[in-house]
Amino acid sequence: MKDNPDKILDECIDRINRGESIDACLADYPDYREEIHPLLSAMIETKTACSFAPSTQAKSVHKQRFNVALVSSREKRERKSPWFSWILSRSKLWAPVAAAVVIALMVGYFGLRPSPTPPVMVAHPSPEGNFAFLISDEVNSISDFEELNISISRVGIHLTGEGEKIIEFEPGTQSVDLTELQGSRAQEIWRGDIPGGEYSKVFLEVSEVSGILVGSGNEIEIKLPSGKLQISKPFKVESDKLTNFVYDLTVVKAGNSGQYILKPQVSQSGADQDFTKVELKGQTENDEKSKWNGNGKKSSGNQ
Amino acid sequence: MKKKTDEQREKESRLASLYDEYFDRIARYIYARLGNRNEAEDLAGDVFLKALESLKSYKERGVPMQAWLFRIAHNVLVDRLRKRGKTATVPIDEQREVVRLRFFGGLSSKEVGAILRKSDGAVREMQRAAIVKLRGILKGGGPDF
Repeated sequence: MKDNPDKILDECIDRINRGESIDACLADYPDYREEIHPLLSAMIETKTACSFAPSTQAKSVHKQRFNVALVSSREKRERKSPWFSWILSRSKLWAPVAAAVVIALMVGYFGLRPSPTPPVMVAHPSPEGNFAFLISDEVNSISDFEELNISISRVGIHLTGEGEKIIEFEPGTQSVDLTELQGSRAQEIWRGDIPGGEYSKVFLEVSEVSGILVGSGNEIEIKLPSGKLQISKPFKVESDKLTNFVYDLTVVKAGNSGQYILKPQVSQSGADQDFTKVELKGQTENDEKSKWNGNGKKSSGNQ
Repeated sequence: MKKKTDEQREKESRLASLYDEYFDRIARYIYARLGNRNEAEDLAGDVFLKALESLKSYKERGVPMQAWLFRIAHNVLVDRLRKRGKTATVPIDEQREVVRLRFFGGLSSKEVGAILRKSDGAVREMQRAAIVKLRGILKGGGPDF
């Protein structure tokens, strides 16, 4: 680095782009101050002369266009059926038969469905968002476990009414240990902005579950009723008010088979549940007690 | 092995997560060349739509997604200049392009190199030469990038 002023200049430009001052950068390279200072000043002068920030309104309009295109692209993809085109690409002799079977299946499928799938909107995280999603664990067989980690890849909530759609988001914290979340303890895994309105259903996509039994140290298999754990639990979200939704999961032992099943606990889930918020692992070892309802113990769903 | 649909969904989520930060940077990069606010905002919006359309061809192991976005922005800009000048080709001064991408786009030299298909060293050399020229221009009047 010492013998290369181009590299020093380059590093200083990066640091200035990140918000440092010329003096702060050159303090690390006093021998090059005289040579590089005027160049960095020219850079800052240029940036200032051409400074421009897009208007919030224009940005928001374009972002809306982008989101609409994103939803439409996903819908288009989901409508495509890969095996359909595969069958049709086979022998010409089989094509009419395959097409007839597919059409019959599609008629049966869509005929039985009460309504078409609503469009999907992707929600993005924001620390000041109006919706927080938390995971908790109703105490059943959880005391059998030393650790019970689940990985959540996606969460979806169903907005009802005129603008019916599915709002989806990927949790910021994807893996949670349910043994840490017993009873009213809950961990926030996502917070962001979602449209205000009446919601009816919530689903979680669980990509992985692993549990270690107390004493054995062995990892055991935990069954999931399905990869998508859905509950019907109506709740309301207001655009200018924080709503905390607690999704409660519970692990139960299936008879004498020794098998454990992870399933949602509808009665303990919802936006009206009392909970004690647990900080993310590594941030603090203490639970963060309720700051909102004043009882020093639990916070309520809608703040 | 991940399914193609999962990969596509991941790429879409990544693109969406870049929107807030990179919309501003891309708009600034375009504005530095065109000098028109509305046009810069509209074209920055078009860049993300084009990126979404071409996302299938984007390879994670190639250039970083943010640099890929600027490659699209560069093409969008050239197209606009071509339409304005009604000419088939638009000469792009690489030194100026380095300055636009580094100062207004906030990209690293490596990312700029990936866009212009140059080595980091070549980008750093062009950058220094451009800034030396800039000093002269600044003494004579406002820059036109």
